[in-house]
Amino acid sequence: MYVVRRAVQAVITLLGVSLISFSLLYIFPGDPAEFILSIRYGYEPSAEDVARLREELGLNRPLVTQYLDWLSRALRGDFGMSWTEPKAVMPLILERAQASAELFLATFLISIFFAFVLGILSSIYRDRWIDHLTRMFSMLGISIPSFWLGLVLIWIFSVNFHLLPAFGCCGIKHLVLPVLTWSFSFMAIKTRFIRASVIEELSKEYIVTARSKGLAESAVVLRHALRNALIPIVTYLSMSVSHLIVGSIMVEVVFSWEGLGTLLVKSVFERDFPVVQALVFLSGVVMISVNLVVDLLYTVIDPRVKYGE
Amino acid sequence: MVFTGGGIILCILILSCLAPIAGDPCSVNMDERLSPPSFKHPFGTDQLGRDMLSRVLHGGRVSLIVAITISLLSMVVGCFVGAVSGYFGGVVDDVIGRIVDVFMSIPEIVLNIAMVGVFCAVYGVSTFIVIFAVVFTNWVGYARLMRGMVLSLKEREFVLCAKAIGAGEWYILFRHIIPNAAGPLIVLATLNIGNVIMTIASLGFLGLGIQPPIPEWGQILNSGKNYITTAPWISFFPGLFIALSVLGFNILGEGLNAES
Repeated sequence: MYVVRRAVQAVITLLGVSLISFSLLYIFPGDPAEFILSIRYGYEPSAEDVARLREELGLNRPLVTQYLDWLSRALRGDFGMSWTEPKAVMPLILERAQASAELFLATFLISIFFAFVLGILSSIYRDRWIDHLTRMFSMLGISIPSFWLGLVLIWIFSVNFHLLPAFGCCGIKHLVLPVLTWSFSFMAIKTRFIRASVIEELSKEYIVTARSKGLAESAVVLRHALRNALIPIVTYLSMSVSHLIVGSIMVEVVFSWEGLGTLLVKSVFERDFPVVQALVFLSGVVMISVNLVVDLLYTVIDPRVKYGE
Repeated sequence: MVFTGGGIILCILILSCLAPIAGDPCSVNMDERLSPPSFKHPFGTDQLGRDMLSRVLHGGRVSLIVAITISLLSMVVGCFVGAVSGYFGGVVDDVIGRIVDVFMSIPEIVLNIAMVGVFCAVYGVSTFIVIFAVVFTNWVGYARLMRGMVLSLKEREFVLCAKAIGAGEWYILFRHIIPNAAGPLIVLATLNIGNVIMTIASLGFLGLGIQPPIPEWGQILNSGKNYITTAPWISFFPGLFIALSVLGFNILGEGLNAES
């Protein structure tokens, strides 16, 4: 029952997201057809050409029909043609997705690992130097803008010491600086949350029981506290997909990484609105699906959770 | 923590107020372009020979004023929506809940970038568009907080008393419930101002924020990007100030949270 209700909710949210993405194109003033043609030919298009393209794109139909048509195509991954390049939107996005995925995976794995290590250490040695250091470090991580940190790192490692390349893509060497920059802020948020969750669990009564049984402290923390803290932590991780997307935009722009973030910014500047529309919609789809999957995964992480009973 | 955070913010506020003493942020002097920090120009000069100290301090005024405006507007919108949603419940709550879900599902900055992009194609770039776009996504946090607060507050005795003496629903909402949610609201607003400063700076860095000639930290930082090898100070100082002010609001928010 819960599964069904949760899925219905996700579908409704998806419709809302699609409505926002679709209307982005309709706040655009003037005639998309005229705009596309003037980009394609570089001069003012003739009235017949505009009329023909309007017919072709279906811009003369009622708004509701256009929306439903757009939605049914979008769900099949068809976002129409780019306005500035002779390509469909979807291949354009897929081309870039790989570069973003590389950067994302490297950052995600590294920062989750260190966030867990630091978060757990800091909750065990609460109010000791390692805790203070971790907290200071994560406070800095959420406050320092990643685009600034990126430039500082470029200045140190590329300009001054010529150790690492500042721009461009592909290869381990090119990954180091962007991943370092991005991990710093991403890790900070996670570390704080993991620390807080584990500390909360450690204050509960079953921990006293576990300790009084004579369990080693490591077993108390890892097998008992951490295991129970995993639920809020995983929820939080799934909600933080949006942090990741934000980070990817800023970091990709600083390091001229040819990924989805730079594609979004470039498309906004070139007024390639079908691409912008598609990226807004797809980022919504990704977040909705991740949240849905995580909600349903709870039954696996925690056997106590049984929905619909 | 409250004192550390408040102290940092106070310093930045005072510096921003003193901005006019540092001179005109827009006066061009090509003889002194890209000169490194010195006694005359403590933060150096940029590619047009403009004094960076003055630009950074004036940028502080812009960032703080815009961020506080955005936070207040979002607070008004969010609190109203959240309070109505929590107080009246039922269908209203369901509808608002779904709208909030939608906004939570699109990463804020993506929508901000898209909206600024589309609106600027229509009306040209202006500060109002930036403010509007950020408020459009930023109210959600306030609405969620307010809804939760109202849900717990409306069961309390003083609300029942107010009802007993015949107070109207809106009167109870605005005179009894919302003022009682002030504590958590102030904590959220403090943290939110920090976030908004970061958002504005990010948009500015992408070239989609407040436009020249108004000096703004993110935008100055972006303009220094191309001079990173020869004049790193152009990007360094605005970034430092962004980091310090965001840090200030985060520490203050955290401190207030711990105390309440």
